[in-house]
Amino acid sequence: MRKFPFQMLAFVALLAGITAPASAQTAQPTVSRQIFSDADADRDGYVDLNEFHRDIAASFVLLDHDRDGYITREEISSIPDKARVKLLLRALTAADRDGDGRLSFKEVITARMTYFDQADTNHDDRISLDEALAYDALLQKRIREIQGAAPGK
Amino acid sequence: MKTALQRLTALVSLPLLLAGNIASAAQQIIELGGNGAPANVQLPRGTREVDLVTQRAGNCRFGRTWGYDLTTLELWVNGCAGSFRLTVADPQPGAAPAAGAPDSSNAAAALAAAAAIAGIAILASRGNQDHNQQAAYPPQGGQYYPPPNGGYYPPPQGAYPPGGGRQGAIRGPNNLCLDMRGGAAVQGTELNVFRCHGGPNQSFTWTPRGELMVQGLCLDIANADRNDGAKVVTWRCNGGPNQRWAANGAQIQSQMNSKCLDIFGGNLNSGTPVIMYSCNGRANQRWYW
Repeated sequence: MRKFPFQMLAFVALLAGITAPASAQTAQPTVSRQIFSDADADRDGYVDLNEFHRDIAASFVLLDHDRDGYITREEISSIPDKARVKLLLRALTAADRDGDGRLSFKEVITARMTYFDQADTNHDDRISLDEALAYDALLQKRIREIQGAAPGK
Repeated sequence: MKTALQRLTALVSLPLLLAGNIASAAQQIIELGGNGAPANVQLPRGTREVDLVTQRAGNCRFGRTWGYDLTTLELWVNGCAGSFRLTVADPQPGAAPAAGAPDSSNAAAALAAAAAIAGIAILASRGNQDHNQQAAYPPQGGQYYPPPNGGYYPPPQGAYPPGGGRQGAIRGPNNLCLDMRGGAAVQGTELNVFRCHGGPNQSFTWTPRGELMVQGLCLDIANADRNDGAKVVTWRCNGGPNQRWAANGAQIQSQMNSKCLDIFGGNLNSGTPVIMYSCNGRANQRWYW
């Protein structure tokens, strides 16, 4: 817990670093808005289950380098950012339900569908921009949970 | 939320009857769930994504009434009938790179993917919008933009030369960077890995044609050798296929033969040569920028 302020900053930085808007010229879309509009392929203002599942599959494929159907710690560790990787590995232990040290596709789906359901507060099976923004506002709470879950590591 | 999760788990674990048939391997279309009963079908190796094309009956919603598993390679329906399109890549982590230069940082994309699985972000994907001008994922110790509350991010001064390529270090494992040996811009100089130091002989530019330039020279497979173990050198840019590269996830593949840029023998120490080798997805073939 002593490291908490630093690590919280690191998480915020993690989000910030990965979510820069497409163009410096455009009128400053926020981080979340940009990501959201990228995912909302049909531009109807919602990320539905179909759009969400493409996001899941793409992210899985991106991390399963050797295409064996599992994301391993080693595969995530190859991202050259030790500080963020360390935090991510800790955060990912919750998704590894069978505790075998790697993430199957089913574990990834289960984790991300859980977040989807958490974000979908009006239960219409799609995420509005407002819901996505509200989910992002839960970031700090989630970080505290992560910190609390693995204080010794 | 708990119930939804339980529902999902129950659906996935149902003992499903095999009721699907693959219409045509070439079309990569599967019809499933025709009689309304729960069903599942095996997916071919190399499947990367499945999309619902047409709903025939029921209420098809991903994760609720249909889904798939890229670990066990199964597609299932339960309360949905429809036709599904498979996106199938070569099962080996080699062939068929998307041609050309990457348009954004693969390290940032990988971090975003992991963050989404960890629940730190609800979405991970970067769309097809123009990310050429997008902020580079900052190198270690750099500043992070934009501020969390919004705002925009001006590209670093000079980071994007005319022509639109990305420029910067190409990082491998163990704090090693792709490096032109010796630092002198001489034709025929071998590529190796070296401790990352930010010098000009570690600063690479992806050109729109898929060349990788360092100090005015192009990364080049020596003598267009197509074999595993072929030497990689710098050479005057000549537009040849042995100077064209493509990013495929964290792999850098030759457009000539789809082999991968590889740290020789997996020896992760400064000075180890970089060669061409058949792609295998291992750590000594993973590069980030």
